[in-house]
Amino acid sequence: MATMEREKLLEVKNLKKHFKVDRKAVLKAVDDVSFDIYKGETLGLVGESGCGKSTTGRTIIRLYEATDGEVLYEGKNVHGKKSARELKEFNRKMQMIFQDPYASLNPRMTVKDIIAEGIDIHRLAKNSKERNERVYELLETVGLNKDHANRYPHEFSGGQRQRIGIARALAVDPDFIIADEPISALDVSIQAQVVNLLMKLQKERGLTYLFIAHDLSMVKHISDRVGVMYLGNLVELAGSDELYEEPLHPYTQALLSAIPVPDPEVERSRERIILEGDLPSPINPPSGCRFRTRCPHAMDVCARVNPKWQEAREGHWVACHLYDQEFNKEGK
Amino acid sequence: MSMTEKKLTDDMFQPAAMDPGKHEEITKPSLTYWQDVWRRLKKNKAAITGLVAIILIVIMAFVGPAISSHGFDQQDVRRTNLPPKIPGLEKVHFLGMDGVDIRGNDQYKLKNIPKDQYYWFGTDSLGRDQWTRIWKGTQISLLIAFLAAAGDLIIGVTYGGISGFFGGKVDNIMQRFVEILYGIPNLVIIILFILIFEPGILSITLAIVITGWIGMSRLVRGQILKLKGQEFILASRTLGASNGRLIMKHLVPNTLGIVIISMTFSIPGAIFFEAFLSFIGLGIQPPTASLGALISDGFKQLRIYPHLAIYPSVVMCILMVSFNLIGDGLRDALDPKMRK
Ligand SMILES: Nc1ncnc2c1ncn2[C@@H]1O[C@H](COP(=O)(O)OP(=O)(O)O)[C@@H](O)[C@H]1O
Ligand SMILES: [Mg+2]
Repeated sequence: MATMEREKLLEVKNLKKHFKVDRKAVLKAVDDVSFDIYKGETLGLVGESGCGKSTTGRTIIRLYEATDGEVLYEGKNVHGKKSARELKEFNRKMQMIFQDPYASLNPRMTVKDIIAEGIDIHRLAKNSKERNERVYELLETVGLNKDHANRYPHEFSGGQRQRIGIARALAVDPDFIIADEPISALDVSIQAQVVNLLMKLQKERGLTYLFIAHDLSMVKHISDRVGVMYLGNLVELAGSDELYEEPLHPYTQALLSAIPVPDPEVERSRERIILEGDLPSPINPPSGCRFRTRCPHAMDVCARVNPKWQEAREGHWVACHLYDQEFNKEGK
Repeated sequence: MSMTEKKLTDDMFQPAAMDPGKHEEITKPSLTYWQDVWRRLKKNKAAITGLVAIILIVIMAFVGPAISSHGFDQQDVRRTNLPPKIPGLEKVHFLGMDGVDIRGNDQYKLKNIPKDQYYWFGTDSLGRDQWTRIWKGTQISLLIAFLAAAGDLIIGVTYGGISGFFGGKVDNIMQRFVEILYGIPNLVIIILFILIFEPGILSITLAIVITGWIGMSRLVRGQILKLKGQEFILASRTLGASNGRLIMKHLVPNTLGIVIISMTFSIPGAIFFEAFLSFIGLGIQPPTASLGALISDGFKQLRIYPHLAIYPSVVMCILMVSFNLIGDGLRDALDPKMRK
């Protein structure tokens, strides 16, 4: 957290995104999620695959219509009816980087046309010379060179493709970027390069990130704060150091205990929390607290009452009855 | 060889000089997708053979009738059922191009035809020149096939594209309609169609198209549905792309390949179907001929005058096989998984 007087860039309030699976069943991919993102920070979002991270990101950026709740960007509602001009303005401020470096670039377009797509849509270049120059500049920014401009995506490696995707997002000069697992499809040796590029860009351009990942160790490295999701719910949100040192939610504790420690002495004596059972289906989630079926501390009340999303300590939010005075008198 | 003979020491190794900018370099020549497809197609001998054969047949379909001295509907009852006779080749008797029928009679001599008169593929039961009729028939068959393929293309791509792109309720309604149409046996529809309208090039084409587009529309719809969820489409949408842009820049270029493949398979399908209609008497009506009509006529006299059925059949087989070879070749060439 760079500055103390922090300005909210994005507010997500009780966001819900439900998919109709068939006539009866509804899949609650994101169910009542609230959090804020401050200007200039990186908010990490972690959780097992299928817990609704991508859906959260895509709903924030309007790729999906929200079922309920709202998203405010600089105080303005993102969803709902908008004029074409408002939409365009909004599209330039918020951008997305995708997970799959193979599916995220159109195989029939040259790198130049891919990167220039935003320039073309928003008419940011007066003529083709200016367009070319902007593309070359962007290629250089992401560590590629301008000879690459006329080539097709299949000629590039995964890491290079991901850089092209980053350049495409940067072309419209956004303030806020949602990075949906941008490194999880890459080789470990390439992951650091892409992460470093993202961090460099953040420093240079004052970007704000929502960084989605399923791997806690990488998220800690780049995030100021981290949110943990489980089955469509946000279960814990705290500054990344605090979250790693003092995780409150049993699910976060379990996730953290699975990360190996580089010190062999510690690693040998380290206690791991093994979660029992399988991930329940989001179509038919457990009543009350969704984590209770796998929670080592589950109480009776967990099956009956949804845990409240509350600030257990300053800046440390958690949704768990263990930290709720009402249900756990002795506290924890 | 033992290691002791020559000791490897550290100072024998030196790091290779490397330009840090160089390692991102790609040396392969840059090819567009279609150049790449052509490069791969060229390597496929079967597909190229098919392509050459089709080009030759198309050329012959137009040149053939012109280089013969007989008209396609010119009848001559004194010169019926003549066997083939070709100048030059008539001397090589076992080829069967010497004007001698299967019973060993030289029909040209029996019917007092002047020495300089040749019917290259013989004549039919009304004395019309079979050579001219075969190439005229090829013209008609190809015309019907291309028109039918174009009809499939236009209707199928539009219908499938709209259905897949808009999805939801629109898709639901459009697909129910297709299912109903698909549920009715298409032969019934086609036969009714031709009975109502006179059999002719247009009505036969329409009859083929009326159910033929369904396959194409399903293919296109599937492809569009698949593409719609792909991340490059999502990326384009987050950049604010309009529907028109999504369609023209992203969806069409990525659907073109399967559409072309499907076309190369629907052309022989239409040729075959037209032949089938001729066989059941609903095809092109005389004096116009199509390959199917010629084969159907020749078939009736197969045991006495085999040449009447054999030559149009050979042309038709070559056409069908060639289109299928090209289709197969294109499918391999367009398949990104085959990329090297
Ligand atoms: N378009 C969709 N239609 C129906 N279900 C979906 C759709 N997108 C995602 N889901 C479901 O929503 C849940 C969350 O998915 P997702 O957000 O992709 O998870 P994550 O990104 O955390 O792996 C999953 O169970 C997934 O099957
Ligand atoms: Mg995901």
